[in-house]
Amino acid sequence: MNKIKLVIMTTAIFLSLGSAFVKAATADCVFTQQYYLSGSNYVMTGVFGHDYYCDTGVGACTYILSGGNYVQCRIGSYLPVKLTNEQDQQKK
Amino acid sequence: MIKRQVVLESISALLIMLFLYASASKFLDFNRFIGEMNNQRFPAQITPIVIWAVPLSEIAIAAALLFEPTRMIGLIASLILMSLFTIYTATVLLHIFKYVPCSCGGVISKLTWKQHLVFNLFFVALSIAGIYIQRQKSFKSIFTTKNSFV
Repeated sequence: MNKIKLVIMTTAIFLSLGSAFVKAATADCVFTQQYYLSGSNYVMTGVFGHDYYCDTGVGACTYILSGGNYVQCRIGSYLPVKLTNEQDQQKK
Repeated sequence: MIKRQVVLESISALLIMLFLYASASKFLDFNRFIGEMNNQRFPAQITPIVIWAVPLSEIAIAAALLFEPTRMIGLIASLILMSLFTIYTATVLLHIFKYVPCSCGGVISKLTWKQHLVFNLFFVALSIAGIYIQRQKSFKSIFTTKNSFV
């Protein structure tokens, strides 16, 4: 039983840590410059969490420039922080 | 008995995988995690505590689940943490917060909130099953120890 336990636990530890390292090493779209769609133009975003949020939704929130094309990155709807703060103040 | 033990080991292993992966993902990409936590609707004073408390408690739970004497504590802590995550996910789905970006790290961040809810509920159920099996095991061992003295 101890051998089975050792095998299960060792596999679990290696799998979880290994996949976390592999994921960290893989380039994620969120690390590159983000753009949002304003009308028909793509505009550079600021810092995620500081300048803008992505509200829950099904559409594309931000895009990245990949090979001359804009590709969807974050999912949701684009929400600038200033706008949400103003909305909060208006509610108050 | 052996079958139950294997099930218990498998439940513990799945929970260890979840918590180790989640905590490692957070620490390996700590700046992103801080940014995502700053997005949450916590009071600003709590955020620095939560930033450290969440990944460290995940590591502590994984460590507790590894060893037999602390497994019950690990399972209960896992149930509490997963229940808190589930409640949080439910509040998001109920639109209690205006905007809540995901802060789960790694592959899990690609899930939608509804998928998150199912995912969390699955691990809540696993924790409950683990507690149930562990309790039965403890009772049985007490019973056998008592009988051995008779």
